[in-house]
Order: sequence, then C-alpha cells, then structure tokens
Amino acid sequence: MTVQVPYEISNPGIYDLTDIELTIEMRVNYINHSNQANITSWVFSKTSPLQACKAFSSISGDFEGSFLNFFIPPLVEFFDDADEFEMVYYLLDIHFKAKYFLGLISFQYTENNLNLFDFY
Amino acid sequence: MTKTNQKLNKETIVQISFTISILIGTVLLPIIGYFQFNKILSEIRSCSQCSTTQLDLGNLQVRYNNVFITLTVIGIILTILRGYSWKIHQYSMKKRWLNFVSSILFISFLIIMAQLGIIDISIENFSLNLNLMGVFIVLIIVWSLFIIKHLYDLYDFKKNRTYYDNLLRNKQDVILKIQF
Repeated sequence: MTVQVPYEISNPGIYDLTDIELTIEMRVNYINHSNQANITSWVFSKTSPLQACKAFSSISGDFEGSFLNFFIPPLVEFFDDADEFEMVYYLLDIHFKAKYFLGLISFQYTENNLNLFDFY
Repeated sequence: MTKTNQKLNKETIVQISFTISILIGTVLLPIIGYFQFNKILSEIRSCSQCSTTQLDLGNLQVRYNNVFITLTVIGIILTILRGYSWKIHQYSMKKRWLNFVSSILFISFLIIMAQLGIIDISIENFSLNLNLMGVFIVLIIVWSLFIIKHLYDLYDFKKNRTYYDNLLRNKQDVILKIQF
C-alpha cells in the first residue's frame, strides 16, 4: 500500500525557494443523516522536505508515502462503524510551505477537502 | 558659472531627487498599493466561476483601511519635513533634530506597515498565508542604526558646537570672497 503523487514546482523569481515542505493528508468522511453527525477519520499523512528550487528553474519528482504513513487501526474502526448506506468521501489536504528572499519571506499554501472520488 | 553655484545646483538636484524618492516611497506607493489591493479584492469577490466565494482576510480585513490612511499621513509629514530640512543649513541644531524626528517617523512608518506583514487569505477550500515579517524586522533593525547615528549627530553637534560654528563661518567667508 503506497501513495505516489507527482509534483512540479517552478520558480520564476530571482531568489531561491528554500525550506520547501510538502504535506499530503487523506481523510475518509461521511455524514450520518440520522443524527447529522460528520464522522471523519485520518487515513494517511506525510510531510516531506523537498530540495531547494533555484531561481528561474523548476523541480519535479514524486511525493511518496509508504505503508508506515497510513493509520490502519482508525481506518479499520471507521469502516467497522460506518453506515454502509451512506456515501463515503475520500478527502485530500495539500499543504505547501516554502521560504523566499533569503528566508525572510515565508508562505504556506493550503488546499483542503479535495474530493478524490465518491465511494458507495 | 562659478564653482559654488555649480556645487549648489548639484546639491539642489540631489535634494530634490531625494525628496521625490521619499514622496514616491512613503506616499505614492501606499496609495497605489491600497487601490491595487482593493482592486484584487473586488476581483476575487466578483469571481463568476466560484460557486460560493467566501473571502476571509483574517485580522487584515479590519485594519487595512486604517493602516493605509496612517501610512499616507506619515508619508506626507515625512515629505514635508524632508523638504523643510533641505532649506535649513547643514551645520545647525535644527537640521539634526529634523533628521532625528524624520528617522523616528520613518521607523514608525515601518512598524505600522509591518501590521500588514502577515497576510491570510482564505477562499473556499484554498488558503494562503504570507509572512513578510522577516523583511520588516531587517528594515526596522537597519533604520534603528540610523536613529542611533542621528542621536550621535545631535550629541556631537552639542559637544563640538564651536568647531561647527567655525566651519560655518569659514564657509560663509569663502562665499563672500567669491561674491565680491
């Protein structure tokens, strides 16, 4: 059981992008319509430091997560308790962190709740 | 044209360009930044492709209007001070006090601008956190050195007043000799 996400980061700026960190998290979620409860469980989480991206260049590669980055017991518990008639969502969170201009400017870009696919 | 006149003209050009650069940096740039920022916000808010556009600027939302107005006011005062100090003679206490007050005003300008150093923008599932505090801290540290320098100038002028008075007197003598 592995996760592989290809990435490409381009830096058109005049300074290097340093301390780049990419975090990918995956959750499973369903809404129990009987009591309107939003039930979520973490499936996967990994933070990986990437190599610095030099000025006017780009880097690419694969973000890889292994079996060790999966949270198996909560996942098993989630599906044991899940209502099989409710729609289960696989949600993806992506966090991208980096520093620019000799490390004086830092920024974080986050994209939450990306729906991977619907699972019945 | 005499040498003194040439020197005066050169000084005038330098002083005028310095005042203009202060006007651009402290008055025009904040005004342009304010209108550009408003334009970007209105573009995001009127996004036709987004189903439910929810723009959240965090703490910035409350204070960015006030910050820009304060910056512009300080910028105008700085430019006036700069223009006024240009007319005052180099070897005077007033000039040194004006330099000291200007640098304190400029550091307060930077500190107020640093309020916009952390920008949080959230739109639907996307969020961007930009932290520019490092840049502001470096600028504030550098400008603190200028304040120390101006303080030293004040102290030096008070202590060596006779020396500067002589210097001024000699300079005036030279101008008089050339005129006659």
